[in-house]
Amino acid sequence: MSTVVLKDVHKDYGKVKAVRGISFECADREILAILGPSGAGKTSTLKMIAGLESITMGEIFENGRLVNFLPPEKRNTAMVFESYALYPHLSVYDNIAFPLRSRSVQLKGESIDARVLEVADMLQIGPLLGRKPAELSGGQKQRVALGRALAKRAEVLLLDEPISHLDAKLRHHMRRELKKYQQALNTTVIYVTHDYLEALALASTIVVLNMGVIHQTGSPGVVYNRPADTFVATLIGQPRINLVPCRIQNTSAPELECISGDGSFRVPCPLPADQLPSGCREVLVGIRPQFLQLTPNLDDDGIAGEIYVSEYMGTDSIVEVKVGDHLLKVLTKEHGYRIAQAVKLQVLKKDIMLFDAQTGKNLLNHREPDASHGS
Amino acid sequence: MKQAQQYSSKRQILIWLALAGYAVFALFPLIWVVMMSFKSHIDIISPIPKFIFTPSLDNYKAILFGGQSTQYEVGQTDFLLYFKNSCIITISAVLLSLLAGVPAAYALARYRFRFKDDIAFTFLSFRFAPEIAVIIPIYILYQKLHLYNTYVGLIFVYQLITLPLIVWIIRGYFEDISVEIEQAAKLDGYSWWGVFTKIALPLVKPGLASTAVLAFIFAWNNFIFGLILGSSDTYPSTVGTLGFISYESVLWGQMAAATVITILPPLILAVFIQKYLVRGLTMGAIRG
Amino acid sequence: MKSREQRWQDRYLPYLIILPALVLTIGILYPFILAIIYSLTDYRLVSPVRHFIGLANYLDSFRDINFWYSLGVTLLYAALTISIEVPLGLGVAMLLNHEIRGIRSFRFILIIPLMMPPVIAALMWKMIMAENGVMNYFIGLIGAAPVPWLANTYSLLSIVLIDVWLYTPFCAIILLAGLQSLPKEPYESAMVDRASGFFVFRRLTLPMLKPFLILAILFRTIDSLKMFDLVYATTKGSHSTMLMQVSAYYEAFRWYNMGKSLSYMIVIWVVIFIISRMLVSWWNRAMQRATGTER
Repeated sequence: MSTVVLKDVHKDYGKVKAVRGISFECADREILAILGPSGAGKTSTLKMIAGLESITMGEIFENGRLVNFLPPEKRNTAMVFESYALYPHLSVYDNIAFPLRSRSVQLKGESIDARVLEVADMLQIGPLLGRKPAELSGGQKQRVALGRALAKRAEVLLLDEPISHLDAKLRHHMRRELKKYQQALNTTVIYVTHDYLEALALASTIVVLNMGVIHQTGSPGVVYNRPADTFVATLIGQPRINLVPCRIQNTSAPELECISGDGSFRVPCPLPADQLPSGCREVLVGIRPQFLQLTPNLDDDGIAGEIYVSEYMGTDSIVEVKVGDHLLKVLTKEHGYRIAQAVKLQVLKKDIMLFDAQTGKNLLNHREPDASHGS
Repeated sequence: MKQAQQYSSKRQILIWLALAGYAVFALFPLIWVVMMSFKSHIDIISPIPKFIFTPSLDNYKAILFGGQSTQYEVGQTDFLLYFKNSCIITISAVLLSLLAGVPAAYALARYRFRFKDDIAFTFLSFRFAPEIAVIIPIYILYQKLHLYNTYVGLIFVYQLITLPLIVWIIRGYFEDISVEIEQAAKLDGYSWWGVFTKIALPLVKPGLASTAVLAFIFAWNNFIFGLILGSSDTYPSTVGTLGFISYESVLWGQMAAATVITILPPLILAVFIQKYLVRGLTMGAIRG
Repeated sequence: MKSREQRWQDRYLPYLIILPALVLTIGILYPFILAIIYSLTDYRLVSPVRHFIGLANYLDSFRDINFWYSLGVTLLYAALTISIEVPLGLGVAMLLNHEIRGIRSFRFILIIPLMMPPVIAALMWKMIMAENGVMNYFIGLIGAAPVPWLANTYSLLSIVLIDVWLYTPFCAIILLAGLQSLPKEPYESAMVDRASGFFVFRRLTLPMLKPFLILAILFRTIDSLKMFDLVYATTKGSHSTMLMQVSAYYEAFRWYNMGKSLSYMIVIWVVIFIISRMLVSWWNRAMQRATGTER
């Protein structure tokens, strides 16, 4: 059993406020991802949970126990650092054995040996045990760092960008491995990353952090499909979500419409008039590139535009379409659009997101979840 | 360093000659004195300097074992005592500085606390203080405390040389260790003492050794502290060597031999610390 | 309870770790403060009764022609040594910065004088500069009359020569480290632009080397202003080589005027402090400019 709970945690470095009152709960044996760009306060948060940084304000509980003042060596946490932080003067074997020889674990010779070999076996680093960290590749270092953290069998495992420095192929491989180890070891994992794909693929809960403030906490599906605000919407998904400033207008049409300033962009409003926050007329319309349908047939309904640029990506193409003053990104499987070709863009009403132009908040979120898109 | 550049052989010879010229300037006094130390008194005072002579160990015998080696020279047996004094004072001073200075350097590198910068600057200011300003009050104090002309007194005052060096340079080496490595060790279940002894110290070991050697050299080379705060029982060999000049005569040959013996320890040690020398000479201002 | 314990440790641990060094420091600091206090008294070693006489020692020194003479000689000495050692050291450093055969041996030979006790170095030169010594023999070979190297007017210059021999390597080593730390790209683009060697030196090397030059000047200034060993071992402080520390030494240990001696030392201390403060702030600015981190 191990849970981690943060209550209104702050961290100041002098005048710089790195973390400004965040709260979340990490359930037993789940993978919780803290997702955010650099400088969001992710690592500070992780180091506070580890006990490496003091907490300016707020409380952190591990297993229901307040740990604010518990020194790191007395906590039951292990951590993999972004820099791996391997001990350069120790062999791989001694690196992994290091936590086992500490006063808090106090294993004796043979059981240390058994534990190290077990971990090495699991991570397939047996042949490297005699080497020094300087003789390892990035991927090998990463495995050793993970091995050192796993050897301790801590109840809470903290991972700080553990695979972001690996090359793309290895990253994909390690993502699957990590999930496997977590299931095998049954530990609670808090995982810090700037890569939304890692968060979506690994975590059962995602905490989106920016400038020391939590923007959203939720399952991958919720964070992806119902982002709390424009920040979350743009952080998650590649290519980025299209955001077009529009006004909501009560035209002659049977429904409300979102219309951009020059009128070239016009989509149905996914909210009925009575559900709009009072006085809210200025909105940002958000449409993910894969939900925009391109058609060369100019007789179809839709938004008229012309091809601005097209990037061929193998199975898909990323096409930028100029609509009035706006450039919209479209992810399409059809290639062969020519630059300056006139096209029409279609979008389903359910794929349209609406954000408050001032606050960036998602205006649809108080609706019932319609469970349309799973991830 | 950078990839070896291509030089025209003419240019290479010019550079080589210029360097060789400087090397002659740098080495000549040393070579001459070494030669002198193997000469007999007659060869030394010869009006035409002798570059070729019959070497003899008489001067060394005289200063190490005493006795009258030739009819002209009076043996001075105290040199061995001075050499021993130098060893005792210098080695103890370095050890004391290491014991006190290395943890201090660690605290300055790793912790944030009040007066940290003031404390650090105080250590450094010793390097800038004119020695006599400190020696006079210490001289007066030592007379009262009966520390004048004692090893303990000299070892303490030698801290002026060794302590700032060790604190400032080792601090730089500690700062070079990634903070995360030490944090990892804390999470692995070690208290500050465990982190310090099992991670930090082993990682700065090469720098530590070279800094200790450098501190040894600087302390060994000191003259003024021994001159004023010591006496014939405790003079280090730098002061002792000067004793070969008396009012009546200068014992050139023995002085040369004493000179050679005195410079031997720092010269031998210099071989091992070349790589770390720049940091040491600039109190860590240049991270070499 | 646990939490209290942890807090206590966080707050007091650093002081605990630094304590031994602090005790030693205070042991040295105490005489430092005594030095200032004694300089305000008529303390004489022979009559241990002392009276507070305010700035009388300083005023006495300032009225004494010997004090100004000594200060002048010291500043002249520092100016001479630095203006020779830094350019010469730069030249040597640039020579040593070439990767040619045998360069490692040259780099080692160079630091040999630096490792020597200054007083011993001075003795070595004293032997060479003796009246019938090898130096006079050499200049006799080209027909010059023997020079009394360590007597009267020559002596200061002779000691400057010893200082140059001893400490040019110091400048060279620091500047060599500087040269080796310079980025390579500007030189490559200068080569592409076919810039002349002198132009590259003035416009590229010197500005980038500035922090290292200042550092060399800083340490050489401090040590020159404090010079004692070389003078004591060669002339024992003849009139023309009466540097401040030498004067202070005789004032204190020959005439037992501790107070007056300390006033000399405090003055030179202040001079060192002011000059090094200036050089350090100059160095900081140069560092920022050289690394492009100006704020």
